[in-house]
Amino acid sequence: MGPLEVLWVVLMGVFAVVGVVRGYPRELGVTTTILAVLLMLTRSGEALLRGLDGYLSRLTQSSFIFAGPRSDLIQSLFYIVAFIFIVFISYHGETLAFPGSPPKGPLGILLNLTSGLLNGYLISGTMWHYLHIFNYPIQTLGLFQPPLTEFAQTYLVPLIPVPMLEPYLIFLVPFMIVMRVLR
Amino acid sequence: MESHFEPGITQYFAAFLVIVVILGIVGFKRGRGGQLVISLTIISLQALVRLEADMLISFVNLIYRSVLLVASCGMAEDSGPCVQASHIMRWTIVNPDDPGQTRLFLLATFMFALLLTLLLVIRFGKPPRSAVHRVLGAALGVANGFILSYLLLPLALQREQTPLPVGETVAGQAFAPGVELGPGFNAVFQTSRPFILLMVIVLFVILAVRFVQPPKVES
Repeated sequence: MGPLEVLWVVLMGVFAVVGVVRGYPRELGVTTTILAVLLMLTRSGEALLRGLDGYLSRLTQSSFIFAGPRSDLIQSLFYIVAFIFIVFISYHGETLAFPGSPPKGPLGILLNLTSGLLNGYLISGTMWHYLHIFNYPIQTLGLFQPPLTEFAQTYLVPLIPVPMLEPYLIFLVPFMIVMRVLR
Repeated sequence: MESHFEPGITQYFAAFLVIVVILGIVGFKRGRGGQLVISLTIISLQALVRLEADMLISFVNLIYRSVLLVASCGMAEDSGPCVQASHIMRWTIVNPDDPGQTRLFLLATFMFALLLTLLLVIRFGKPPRSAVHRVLGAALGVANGFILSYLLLPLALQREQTPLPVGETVAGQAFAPGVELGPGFNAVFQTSRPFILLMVIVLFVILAVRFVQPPKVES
Protein backbone atom coordinates (compact mmCIF):
# COMPACT_ATOMS: atom_id res chain seq x y z
CA MET A 1 0.00 0.00 0.00
CA GLY A 2 1.28 3.45 -0.87
CA PRO A 3 1.19 6.34 1.59
CA LEU A 4 -1.95 8.02 0.19
CA GLU A 5 -4.04 4.87 0.53
CA VAL A 6 -2.79 4.42 4.09
CA LEU A 7 -3.68 8.03 4.88
CA TRP A 8 -7.14 7.53 3.34
CA VAL A 9 -7.81 4.43 5.46
CA VAL A 10 -6.39 5.99 8.64
CA LEU A 11 -8.48 9.14 8.22
CA MET A 12 -11.64 7.17 7.62
CA GLY A 13 -10.91 5.07 10.69
CA VAL A 14 -10.31 8.15 12.82
CA PHE A 15 -13.53 9.78 11.71
CA ALA A 16 -15.43 6.53 12.26
CA VAL A 17 -14.27 6.55 15.89
CA VAL A 18 -15.19 10.24 16.16
CA GLY A 19 -18.64 9.39 14.81
CA VAL A 20 -19.15 6.63 17.39
CA VAL A 21 -18.17 9.00 20.20
CA ARG A 22 -20.11 12.10 19.07
CA GLY A 23 -23.24 10.36 17.78
CA TYR A 24 -24.73 10.54 14.33
CA PRO A 25 -27.17 13.46 14.87
CA ARG A 26 -24.15 15.72 15.36
CA GLU A 27 -22.25 14.01 12.55
CA LEU A 28 -25.11 14.68 10.14
CA GLY A 29 -24.65 18.37 10.90
CA VAL A 30 -21.03 18.03 9.81
CA THR A 31 -22.14 16.15 6.69
CA THR A 32 -24.42 19.07 5.81
CA THR A 33 -21.53 21.49 6.26
CA ILE A 34 -19.19 19.35 4.15
CA LEU A 35 -21.69 19.20 1.28
CA ALA A 36 -22.32 22.94 1.50
CA VAL A 37 -18.58 23.68 1.43
CA LEU A 38 -18.16 21.38 -1.56
CA LEU A 39 -20.95 23.22 -3.34
CA MET A 40 -19.27 26.53 -2.63
CA LEU A 41 -15.80 25.37 -3.67
CA THR A 42 -16.93 23.65 -6.87
CA ARG A 43 -19.12 26.57 -7.97
CA SER A 44 -17.19 29.58 -6.69
CA GLY A 45 -13.73 28.35 -5.74
CA GLU A 46 -12.07 29.47 -8.94
CA ALA A 47 -13.81 32.85 -8.83
CA LEU A 48 -12.57 33.36 -5.27
CA LEU A 49 -9.05 32.47 -6.31
CA ARG A 50 -9.18 34.87 -9.25
CA GLY A 51 -10.40 37.64 -6.98
CA LEU A 52 -7.62 36.97 -4.53
CA ASP A 53 -5.07 36.79 -7.35
CA GLY A 54 -6.32 40.10 -8.73
CA TYR A 55 -5.83 41.74 -5.36
CA LEU A 56 -2.37 40.24 -4.80
CA SER A 57 -1.18 41.00 -8.33
CA ARG A 58 -1.62 44.71 -7.57
CA LEU A 59 1.01 44.27 -4.87
CA THR A 60 3.37 41.93 -6.70
CA GLN A 61 2.86 43.29 -10.25
CA SER A 62 2.28 39.77 -11.57
CA SER A 63 -0.14 36.89 -11.15
CA PHE A 64 0.78 35.29 -7.85
CA ILE A 65 -1.60 32.34 -7.85
CA PHE A 66 -2.08 31.29 -11.47
CA ALA A 67 1.44 31.84 -12.75
CA GLY A 68 4.80 30.73 -11.45
CA PRO A 69 6.37 27.42 -10.45
CA ARG A 70 4.26 27.05 -7.28
CA SER A 71 0.92 27.76 -8.96
CA ASP A 72 -0.48 24.24 -8.59
CA LEU A 73 0.69 23.96 -5.00
CA ILE A 74 -0.89 27.29 -4.01
CA GLN A 75 -4.22 26.49 -5.66
CA SER A 76 -4.31 23.01 -4.17
CA LEU A 77 -3.48 24.28 -0.70
CA PHE A 78 -6.09 27.02 -0.97
CA TYR A 79 -8.89 24.51 -1.56
CA ILE A 80 -7.64 22.03 1.03
CA VAL A 81 -7.00 24.59 3.75
CA ALA A 82 -10.33 26.36 3.14
CA PHE A 83 -12.16 23.04 3.26
CA ILE A 84 -10.39 21.80 6.41
CA PHE A 85 -10.87 25.14 8.17
CA ILE A 86 -14.65 25.16 7.64
CA VAL A 87 -15.01 21.48 8.53
CA PHE A 88 -12.93 22.07 11.68
CA ILE A 89 -15.29 24.87 12.72
CA SER A 90 -18.31 22.68 12.05
CA TYR A 91 -16.95 20.02 14.41
CA HIS A 92 -16.91 22.61 17.17
CA GLY A 93 -20.38 24.01 16.51
CA GLU A 94 -23.92 22.82 17.13
CA THR A 95 -25.92 24.96 14.72
CA LEU A 96 -26.48 22.35 12.05
CA ALA A 97 -26.50 19.32 14.35
CA PHE A 98 -29.70 17.33 14.00
CA PRO A 99 -31.75 17.44 17.21
CA GLY A 100 -32.12 14.27 19.22
CA SER A 101 -29.93 11.34 20.20
CA PRO A 102 -29.05 8.00 18.64
CA PRO A 103 -31.13 4.95 19.53
CA LYS A 104 -29.74 2.62 22.16
CA GLY A 105 -28.08 -0.64 21.28
CA PRO A 106 -26.32 -2.01 18.19
CA LEU A 107 -28.43 0.01 15.75
CA GLY A 108 -27.27 3.27 17.30
CA ILE A 109 -23.64 2.15 17.22
CA LEU A 110 -23.97 1.06 13.60
CA LEU A 111 -25.53 4.37 12.57
CA ASN A 112 -22.87 6.32 14.47
CA LEU A 113 -20.11 4.30 12.81
CA THR A 114 -21.63 4.72 9.34
CA SER A 115 -22.02 8.47 9.73
CA GLY A 116 -18.41 8.74 10.91
CA LEU A 117 -17.22 6.65 7.95
CA LEU A 118 -19.28 8.76 5.56
CA ASN A 119 -17.76 11.98 6.89
CA GLY A 120 -14.29 10.43 6.82
CA TYR A 121 -14.83 9.36 3.21
CA LEU A 122 -16.03 12.83 2.20
CA ILE A 123 -13.21 14.64 4.03
CA SER A 124 -10.32 12.42 2.93
CA GLY A 125 -11.80 12.05 -0.56
CA THR A 126 -12.09 15.82 -0.98
CA MET A 127 -8.49 16.38 0.08
CA TRP A 128 -7.38 13.67 -2.34
CA HIS A 129 -9.43 15.28 -5.11
CA TYR A 130 -7.72 18.65 -4.72
CA LEU A 131 -4.35 16.96 -4.79
CA HIS A 132 -5.30 14.81 -7.79
CA ILE A 133 -6.60 17.57 -10.07
CA PHE A 134 -3.43 19.61 -9.49
CA ASN A 135 -1.23 16.59 -10.14
CA TYR A 136 -0.10 16.05 -6.55
CA PRO A 137 1.89 19.29 -6.06
CA ILE A 138 2.97 18.10 -2.59
CA GLN A 139 5.64 16.10 -4.40
CA THR A 140 7.59 19.36 -4.69
CA LEU A 141 7.69 19.40 -0.90
CA GLY A 142 8.97 15.84 -0.83
CA LEU A 143 5.72 14.55 0.73
CA PHE A 144 4.74 12.23 -2.13
CA GLN A 145 6.57 10.23 -4.78
CA PRO A 146 4.60 9.44 -7.95
CA PRO A 147 3.20 7.31 -9.45
CA LEU A 148 0.17 6.10 -7.54
CA THR A 149 0.00 2.40 -6.88
CA GLU A 150 -2.10 0.27 -9.22
CA PHE A 151 -4.57 -0.35 -6.40
CA ALA A 152 -5.06 3.40 -5.89
CA GLN A 153 -5.43 4.11 -9.59
CA THR A 154 -7.89 1.30 -10.21
CA TYR A 155 -10.05 1.30 -7.10
CA LEU A 156 -9.58 4.50 -5.09
CA VAL A 157 -9.25 7.32 -7.63
CA PRO A 158 -12.60 6.36 -9.25
CA LEU A 159 -14.18 6.57 -5.79
CA ILE A 160 -13.12 10.16 -5.12
CA PRO A 161 -16.45 11.73 -4.12
CA VAL A 162 -16.20 15.28 -5.49
CA PRO A 163 -16.61 14.60 -9.23
CA MET A 164 -19.36 12.06 -8.50
CA LEU A 165 -21.37 14.30 -6.21
CA GLU A 166 -20.79 17.62 -7.97
CA PRO A 167 -23.90 17.54 -10.22
CA TYR A 168 -26.10 16.57 -7.28
CA LEU A 169 -24.81 19.00 -4.63
CA ILE A 170 -27.40 21.61 -5.60
CA PHE A 171 -30.07 19.10 -4.52
CA LEU A 172 -28.17 17.40 -1.68
CA VAL A 173 -27.56 20.54 0.35
CA PRO A 174 -31.24 21.61 0.43
CA PHE A 175 -32.18 18.00 1.06
CA MET A 176 -29.99 17.86 4.19
CA ILE A 177 -31.38 21.16 5.44
CA VAL A 178 -34.96 20.00 4.82
CA MET A 179 -34.27 16.75 6.69
CA ARG A 180 -32.89 18.71 9.62
CA VAL A 181 -35.84 21.08 9.72
CA LEU A 182 -38.50 18.44 9.22
CA ARG A 183 -37.09 16.28 12.00
CA MET B 1 -17.25 -9.70 -12.67
CA GLU B 2 -19.40 -10.46 -15.67
CA SER B 3 -22.83 -8.97 -16.11
CA HIS B 4 -25.55 -10.76 -18.03
CA PHE B 5 -27.33 -7.47 -18.64
CA GLU B 6 -26.27 -4.51 -20.69
CA PRO B 7 -25.14 -1.69 -18.38
CA GLY B 8 -28.08 0.61 -19.20
CA ILE B 9 -30.63 -2.00 -18.16
CA THR B 10 -28.81 -2.62 -14.88
CA GLN B 11 -29.11 1.08 -14.12
CA TYR B 12 -32.83 0.95 -14.88
CA PHE B 13 -33.29 -2.05 -12.61
CA ALA B 14 -31.43 -0.40 -9.74
CA ALA B 15 -33.31 2.88 -10.00
CA PHE B 16 -36.66 1.17 -10.58
CA LEU B 17 -36.17 -1.09 -7.56
CA VAL B 18 -35.19 1.80 -5.30
CA ILE B 19 -38.20 3.91 -6.31
CA VAL B 20 -40.71 1.07 -5.93
CA VAL B 21 -39.29 -0.08 -2.57
CA ILE B 22 -39.21 3.42 -1.08
CA LEU B 23 -42.76 4.25 -2.11
CA GLY B 24 -43.98 0.82 -1.00
CA ILE B 25 -42.45 1.34 2.45
CA VAL B 26 -43.89 4.85 2.73
CA GLY B 27 -47.29 3.46 1.73
CA PHE B 28 -47.03 0.72 4.35
CA LYS B 29 -46.08 3.22 7.05
CA ARG B 30 -48.48 6.04 6.19
CA GLY B 31 -51.38 4.19 4.55
CA ARG B 32 -53.41 4.90 1.46
CA GLY B 33 -54.11 8.56 2.25
CA GLY B 34 -50.50 9.61 1.83
CA GLN B 35 -50.17 7.58 -1.34
CA LEU B 36 -53.27 9.22 -2.81
CA VAL B 37 -51.62 12.59 -2.18
CA ILE B 38 -48.50 11.34 -3.95
CA SER B 39 -50.58 10.01 -6.87
CA LEU B 40 -52.27 13.37 -7.22
CA THR B 41 -48.90 15.11 -7.12
CA ILE B 42 -47.48 12.83 -9.82
CA ILE B 43 -50.48 13.43 -12.10
CA SER B 44 -50.42 17.20 -11.53
CA LEU B 45 -46.68 17.47 -12.09
CA GLN B 46 -46.86 15.35 -15.22
CA ALA B 47 -49.66 17.54 -16.58
CA LEU B 48 -47.71 20.69 -15.72
CA VAL B 49 -44.51 19.44 -17.31
CA ARG B 50 -46.22 18.16 -20.46
CA LEU B 51 -48.69 20.94 -21.11
CA GLU B 52 -47.04 24.01 -19.62
CA ALA B 53 -43.33 23.31 -20.00
CA ASP B 54 -42.78 26.47 -22.05
CA MET B 55 -44.64 28.60 -19.53
CA LEU B 56 -42.60 27.10 -16.68
CA ILE B 57 -39.28 27.72 -18.44
CA SER B 58 -40.30 31.29 -19.36
CA PHE B 59 -41.32 31.91 -15.76
CA VAL B 60 -37.99 30.66 -14.37
CA ASN B 61 -36.03 32.71 -16.90
CA LEU B 62 -38.12 35.76 -16.00
CA ILE B 63 -37.35 35.32 -12.30
CA TYR B 64 -33.66 34.91 -13.15
CA ARG B 65 -33.59 38.07 -15.26
CA SER B 66 -35.46 39.99 -12.56
CA VAL B 67 -32.89 39.01 -9.95
CA LEU B 68 -30.06 39.97 -12.31
CA LEU B 69 -31.78 43.24 -13.12
CA VAL B 70 -32.10 44.25 -9.50
CA ALA B 71 -28.57 43.09 -8.68
CA SER B 72 -26.98 44.85 -11.66
CA CYS B 73 -29.02 47.97 -12.08
CA GLY B 74 -30.83 48.47 -8.79
CA MET B 75 -34.42 49.61 -8.44
CA ALA B 76 -33.91 53.11 -9.78
CA GLU B 77 -36.48 54.50 -12.20
CA ASP B 78 -33.81 55.39 -14.76
CA SER B 79 -32.32 51.89 -14.99
CA GLY B 80 -33.33 51.58 -18.67
CA PRO B 81 -29.88 52.48 -20.08
CA CYS B 82 -28.27 50.07 -17.59
CA VAL B 83 -30.57 47.27 -18.71
CA GLN B 84 -29.84 47.92 -22.37
CA ALA B 85 -26.09 48.09 -21.83
CA SER B 86 -25.91 44.82 -19.88
CA HIS B 87 -28.15 42.88 -22.33
CA ILE B 88 -29.87 41.25 -19.37
CA MET B 89 -32.93 40.49 -21.46
CA ARG B 90 -30.93 37.96 -23.46
CA TRP B 91 -29.79 35.97 -20.44
CA THR B 92 -31.48 32.71 -19.57
CA ILE B 93 -30.88 30.09 -16.93
CA VAL B 94 -32.63 27.43 -19.03
CA ASN B 95 -32.18 27.69 -22.79
CA PRO B 96 -35.57 26.80 -24.31
CA ASP B 97 -33.89 25.85 -27.60
CA ASP B 98 -31.63 23.27 -25.96
CA PRO B 99 -33.53 19.98 -25.51
CA GLY B 100 -30.93 18.71 -23.02
CA GLN B 101 -31.26 21.72 -20.73
CA THR B 102 -35.06 21.79 -20.87
CA ARG B 103 -35.24 18.08 -20.12
CA LEU B 104 -32.87 18.44 -17.15
CA PHE B 105 -34.81 21.43 -15.78
CA LEU B 106 -38.20 19.69 -16.09
CA LEU B 107 -36.79 16.54 -14.52
CA ALA B 108 -35.26 18.51 -11.63
CA THR B 109 -38.53 20.40 -11.04
CA PHE B 110 -40.51 17.17 -11.10
CA MET B 111 -38.18 15.39 -8.69
CA PHE B 112 -37.85 18.30 -6.30
CA ALA B 113 -41.61 18.80 -6.03
CA LEU B 114 -42.18 15.09 -5.62
CA LEU B 115 -39.46 14.79 -2.97
CA LEU B 116 -41.03 17.65 -1.04
CA THR B 117 -44.43 15.94 -1.18
CA LEU B 118 -42.90 12.66 -0.05
CA LEU B 119 -41.18 14.33 2.91
CA LEU B 120 -44.40 16.09 3.93
CA VAL B 121 -46.32 12.81 3.74
CA ILE B 122 -43.68 11.10 5.88
CA ARG B 123 -43.61 13.92 8.39
CA PHE B 124 -47.29 14.82 8.68
CA GLY B 125 -49.05 11.68 7.46
CA LYS B 126 -51.06 9.72 10.00
CA PRO B 127 -50.29 6.05 10.66
CA PRO B 128 -52.91 3.73 9.13
CA ARG B 129 -55.64 2.47 11.43
CA SER B 130 -55.50 -1.20 10.44
CA ALA B 131 -53.39 -3.80 8.70
CA VAL B 132 -55.72 -3.63 5.67
CA HIS B 133 -55.00 0.08 5.28
CA ARG B 134 -51.28 -0.64 5.54
CA VAL B 135 -51.47 -3.25 2.81
CA LEU B 136 -53.56 -0.92 0.62
CA GLY B 137 -51.03 1.82 1.22
CA ALA B 138 -48.14 -0.47 0.28
CA ALA B 139 -49.93 -1.62 -2.88
CA LEU B 140 -50.70 1.95 -3.89
CA GLY B 141 -47.09 2.88 -3.10
CA VAL B 142 -45.79 0.15 -5.40
CA ALA B 143 -48.21 1.32 -8.11
CA ASN B 144 -46.96 4.89 -7.69
CA GLY B 145 -43.42 3.56 -7.95
CA PHE B 146 -44.23 1.86 -11.26
CA ILE B 147 -45.84 5.00 -12.67
CA LEU B 148 -43.00 7.21 -11.50
CA SER B 149 -40.38 4.88 -12.95
CA TYR B 150 -42.27 4.77 -16.25
CA LEU B 151 -42.39 8.58 -16.43
CA LEU B 152 -38.97 9.54 -15.09
CA LEU B 153 -36.45 6.82 -15.84
CA PRO B 154 -36.40 7.31 -19.63
CA LEU B 155 -35.58 10.97 -18.96
CA ALA B 156 -33.07 10.43 -16.17
CA LEU B 157 -30.91 7.60 -17.45
CA GLN B 158 -29.49 8.29 -20.87
CA ARG B 159 -28.39 5.41 -23.07
CA GLU B 160 -25.58 7.51 -24.56
CA GLN B 161 -23.74 7.30 -21.24
CA THR B 162 -23.07 3.64 -21.92
CA PRO B 163 -22.30 3.26 -25.61
CA LEU B 164 -22.79 -0.28 -26.81
CA PRO B 165 -21.50 -1.84 -30.02
CA VAL B 166 -24.19 -1.65 -32.72
CA GLY B 167 -25.87 -5.00 -33.37
CA GLU B 168 -23.94 -6.87 -30.71
CA THR B 169 -26.17 -9.18 -28.73
CA VAL B 170 -25.24 -9.39 -25.11
CA ALA B 171 -27.44 -12.42 -24.56
CA GLY B 172 -25.60 -14.31 -27.23
CA GLN B 173 -22.32 -13.78 -25.47
CA ALA B 174 -23.68 -14.36 -21.99
CA PHE B 175 -23.41 -18.13 -22.20
CA ALA B 176 -20.11 -18.40 -24.05
CA PRO B 177 -17.55 -19.62 -21.51
CA GLY B 178 -14.54 -17.41 -20.93
CA VAL B 179 -15.93 -14.51 -22.96
CA GLU B 180 -15.69 -11.12 -21.34
CA LEU B 181 -18.90 -9.26 -21.99
CA GLY B 182 -18.33 -5.92 -23.76
CA PRO B 183 -18.10 -3.14 -21.20
CA GLY B 184 -19.38 -5.47 -18.48
CA PHE B 185 -18.89 -4.62 -14.81
CA ASN B 186 -16.48 -1.77 -15.38
CA ALA B 187 -18.96 0.17 -17.53
CA VAL B 188 -21.77 -0.51 -15.06
CA PHE B 189 -19.53 0.66 -12.23
CA GLN B 190 -18.47 3.73 -14.19
CA THR B 191 -21.93 4.94 -15.05
CA SER B 192 -23.71 3.86 -11.87
CA ARG B 193 -21.10 5.03 -9.36
CA PRO B 194 -22.46 8.57 -8.84
CA PHE B 195 -26.04 7.32 -8.68
CA ILE B 196 -25.13 4.62 -6.15
CA LEU B 197 -23.23 7.09 -3.98
CA LEU B 198 -26.11 9.56 -4.12
CA MET B 199 -28.65 6.90 -3.16
CA VAL B 200 -26.42 5.62 -0.34
CA ILE B 201 -26.18 9.10 1.18
CA VAL B 202 -29.89 9.92 0.72
CA LEU B 203 -31.12 6.58 2.05
CA PHE B 204 -28.72 6.67 5.00
CA VAL B 205 -29.85 10.16 6.00
CA ILE B 206 -33.55 9.21 5.72
CA LEU B 207 -32.95 6.07 7.79
CA ALA B 208 -30.84 7.90 10.36
CA VAL B 209 -33.42 10.65 10.82
CA ARG B 210 -36.16 8.05 11.08
CA PHE B 211 -34.46 6.33 14.03
CA VAL B 212 -33.24 9.36 15.95
CA GLN B 213 -34.65 9.66 19.46
CA PRO B 214 -36.36 13.02 20.05
CA PRO B 215 -34.67 15.32 22.57
CA LYS B 216 -36.00 14.94 26.10
CA VAL B 217 -38.18 17.82 27.26
CA GLU B 218 -37.19 19.08 30.69
CA SER B 219 -40.20 19.33 32.96
